[in-house]
Formats: sequence, structure tokens, C-alpha cells
Amino acid sequence: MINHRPQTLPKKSSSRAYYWAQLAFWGCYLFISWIFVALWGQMSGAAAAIFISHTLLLMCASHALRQLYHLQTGSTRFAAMMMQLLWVLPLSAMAIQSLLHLFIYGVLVFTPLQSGIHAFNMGSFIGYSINTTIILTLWSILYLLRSEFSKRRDTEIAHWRDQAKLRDMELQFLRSQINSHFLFNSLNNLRALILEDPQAARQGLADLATLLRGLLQVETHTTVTLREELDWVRGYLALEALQFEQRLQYEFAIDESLLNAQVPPLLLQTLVENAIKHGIASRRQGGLISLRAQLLSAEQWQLEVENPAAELPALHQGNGIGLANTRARLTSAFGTQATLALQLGERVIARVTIPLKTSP
Amino acid sequence: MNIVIVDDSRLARKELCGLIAEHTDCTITGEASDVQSAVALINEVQPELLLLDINLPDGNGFDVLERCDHTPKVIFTTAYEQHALRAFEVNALDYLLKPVTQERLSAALEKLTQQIQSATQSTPSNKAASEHVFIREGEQCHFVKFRDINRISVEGNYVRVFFNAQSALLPRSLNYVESRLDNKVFFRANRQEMINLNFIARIEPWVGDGLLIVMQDKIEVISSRRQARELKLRMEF
Repeated sequence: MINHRPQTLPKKSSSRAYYWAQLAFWGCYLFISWIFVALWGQMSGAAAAIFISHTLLLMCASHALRQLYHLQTGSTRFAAMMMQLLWVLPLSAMAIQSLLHLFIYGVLVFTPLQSGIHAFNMGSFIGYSINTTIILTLWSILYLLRSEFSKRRDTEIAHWRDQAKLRDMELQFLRSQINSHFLFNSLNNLRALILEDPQAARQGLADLATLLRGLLQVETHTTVTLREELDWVRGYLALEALQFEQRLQYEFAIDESLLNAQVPPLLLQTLVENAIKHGIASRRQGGLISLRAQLLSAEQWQLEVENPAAELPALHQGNGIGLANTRARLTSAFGTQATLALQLGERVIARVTIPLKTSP
Repeated sequence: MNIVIVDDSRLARKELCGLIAEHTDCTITGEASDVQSAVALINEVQPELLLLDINLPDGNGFDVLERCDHTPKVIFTTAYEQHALRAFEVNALDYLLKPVTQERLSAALEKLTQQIQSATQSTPSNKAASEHVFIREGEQCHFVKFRDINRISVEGNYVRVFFNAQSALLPRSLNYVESRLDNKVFFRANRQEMINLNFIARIEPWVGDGLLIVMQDKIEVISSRRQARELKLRMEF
């Protein structure tokens, strides 16, 4: 579910860094070769021109190599890449030298003969080619090390980012699962009930325990049976009835054959909680919540939760997070086969259609 | 102390009643479960203290405070710390988290008793000195003590209350406000403004037998001739 591949690198800044590094590397190369030539006392205009064009050619070649490395990242194994480099690097070195010698030939044609520069010589061609291969290899090593390093760092960053996001999602999810108001109100009501009706208080505590157990299942199960879910929902409603008393009425119409059908844990509970928030808590006289489960076809069944519309709609408007969350959980359990629709009006109906998948 | 409890859960109210029963100096004069009945009850019994739940079926605790004519001392009770409570300035209010422990309730009641006592001691003649009004403006909520109000002026259909170098809009008419404030302290200078006599810096004569009243914050209020006569009478005492 969580993707650990590094996202495409922040192109702009990394390619700018690349161009600067490129300039610095080849600048150094040019400078060093220049010093060597100067030491040997062979400095001349033609030699300078040759060195500059050599460096420019190397720069172009290294850029082309970079494109090659880019193409191969991720798709080729390290060893295979090394094998390729064994012929790619000498070949590009020879290509560079050929071009360079062509250039020298051109220089010699148009300028008077200068000492120290030979027209063409197979030995020096091979020597220069080896020299160029070495410098291109050096460049490649540096480049590949650097890109490997930044790739690892990016992977790590992406990994931490994903971790943080995941933790955030989990937290948000748990938080949305059991409303803290509900939890503390229930505890408060139970506290009063202990004096008023100890038996009912005992039952209430058991209901709360069942519900909390359901909450723990959310983390470990993608689906549970409708039977389990209904247990939690009955416990939840019993606890909410302590808060709302005669304002909360509810009825069940469940097709018995569906009791083993699979639902995401606490899905129905979330819908009922929503129904209470809008249809009961925000209405002074409260109302009736109806829960229905029925078979639609051989492959599909549906769950419905119906509640009266809020008395003051503006005041108790949700932000739709609960609904989006529920949809996401349906999708993760059943893919696109499950749907959730909300029908608004005097009475609000949340309708979930789920593919029939009974537990073995 | 007379207490009214507002909470939509009967059991929660019962729980609070049980806790308060142990305080012999407190009596519960009424209970309400929604905004509408709470406002009616508070106006009728005028309790000294309100234990107020934030979430109510037809609104919230702030709606109750805004609508009732008499603003008692308030302790909010809530099941969960809420963003809503951050609307208040620091220490402006007390709140209790449900389930409420006897210790926390006792501490809150004790604090309140001390507040009332210190307020009545500083101005022994006037018990009303500790009276306050609840004002909600935008995101901000205030409990403004009457004695901190220096001036009230008409703004559209409502009035703007100036206090402690701030101001807030109160959705009431100036006539209503005048009827609620102590006329020994507050004076209707003209049709637009009321002033707190304790905040006057100096008074100068003005055209047509009127008076120019300069407040401590340098604001000038002009009093009409008829009102000026009234003020002179009062200042003679």
C-alpha cells in the first residue's frame, strides 16, 4: 500500500548542481593538463585550442554517459552495467580521439607546421585513447557514486516521509473511530448509573469493553463478520442510550442469512455514530434510527442506516472526513465493488453495498 | 450558592447533583437539558452559578450565555477538552472535565467563593460589582465585569462595549443594557452613549448648557442639556 520507491528527484536543484560539478571537474582537468604541457614547454596557441576542444568533447561525452546511466538506473544490475561500460568507455574515448585528430588535421592544414604536433600516428592515437578512457572512467566512478549516494538518501527521506504519513493516517483513523466525547460521556454516565442501577451499570461496562475490543480489531482485521459487528453496534447503542435515554430509539431489520457476511470492522458503528450525531444529538426530541441488512442478489448485499435529518443543519454540519474515511476502508477491503451513498432528505439514509463474501 | 445545571444527559446531571449535595452551602435550583429551556430557567431563578455543558441539542453553552438576561458565574463541564474553550482569554473561565472528581469540583467552587468575596470586599456597598456579561465576538469570548466597562456606544442595532482597552460588540440595544446596569455607576450621556462615572477624567462646560465629558482614555463624550442637568444632580452627592 505504501510505496517506498523514491519519488522523482527534485529535478531543478539537482541538475543545477550537476552542471556546476561538471564545470568544476572539467575545469580542473583542463587546468591540470595545461600545467603539465606548460612544464614540458610545449605551450602554443594550437596546443591550447586542442586542449580546449578535447575538454569540450569530454564534457559532451560525459553528458551523454550521464543520459545512459539515467536510462539504466533501476533496470540494469550493477554487474551488467560494468560489462557495458567495458566497451562503452573505450569506444567513446576512441570516438573523442578520432574527432580530436580530425580537428588537429584541420588545424595543420590551415596553419603553418608547428613543432611538437604530429599529424597522425597510430601509437599516439591509442595512447591518447587510453588516457581518455581513464579520465572518463574516473568521471563515471565519481558520478555513479554520487548518484547512488543521493538516491539512497532520497529513498531514506521518502521512507521516513511515508512512515510519518502512515502514522498520521493511523492516528487520524483511530481518533475518528471512537469519538472521545462518546467515550468520556459514557464513563460519566456509567458513574452516575452505578448509584442508580448497579445492574445496568455492570451491563454498560461490559458493552464498553466489547466496543473497545472491536476497536482493537480494526488494526488487525480488514473484515469481520456482520455478527461481530452487530454485537459492537448493539453495545454502542446501549451506551448512547444512557446519554440520550428516550431521545434515542432504534430498530434492527437484519437478514439472518447475512450474519456471516464480511464487513470492515466498525464500519456500521461509524455509520450509526454519524446517524446519532446528526439525527439524535442535534434534535431536542431525538428520533428513530433504523438499521437494515438485506440481500440484493447472489453476489451483493446492502447495509442501510436511516436517521431523521438534523434540526439545525448548519450547526451540526460535519466535514465529510468520516464519510471519506469509511469509503477508503470499503475500498481497501473490497476494491471498487463496494459503494457508499448518502441519501439526504427528511430522513437521511446511508447505504452501503458490499459484495457477498462469507467467512469460511 | 444557588446553582443551575445545564446538560443534555440526565445521568450527567444526576452525577453533578450527587457531587454538589456534599457541599452544604450549595443548592441546586434547577436543571435544563437544552438551550431554550436553560435560558428560560436562568432568567427565572437567576442562579449565582451555572454548571454548563458545551454540547447541547439545539446549540451550545455559549448560546445559553448570550441569550440569557442574567449572566451568572459559569463553570463549563465537558467530556473532552475542546477547541471551543480556547476562545477565552487565559484564566477567564473554569471548566471541569467529565467525569468530574469531587476534588476538582471543590477546588473550582472554592476559587469561585473567594472571587465573590474579594469582589464584595473591595466595594462592600455594591454586590453587583462582581456581576459580568458574556460577549462573544467572532472567535473571541469574554466575560466582561460591569466595573471594567468604561463606555458603551450604539453601533447599528447593537452596542459596542469598551473595557480594559478592548471592545466587543454585544447584540443588545442600548436601552436594554441601560436597564441592566447599575444607574449609580453608569450614566446615559446621550442617545448614543453610556459611560461609567468611575472612568471620567474631567468635565467641561459645553455649548447650550451641555457638558463635555473627557474619559480617562481621552475619549470625549458630549452630554445633552437634559442629561447634563441629571449628571450635575448626581455629582452633587
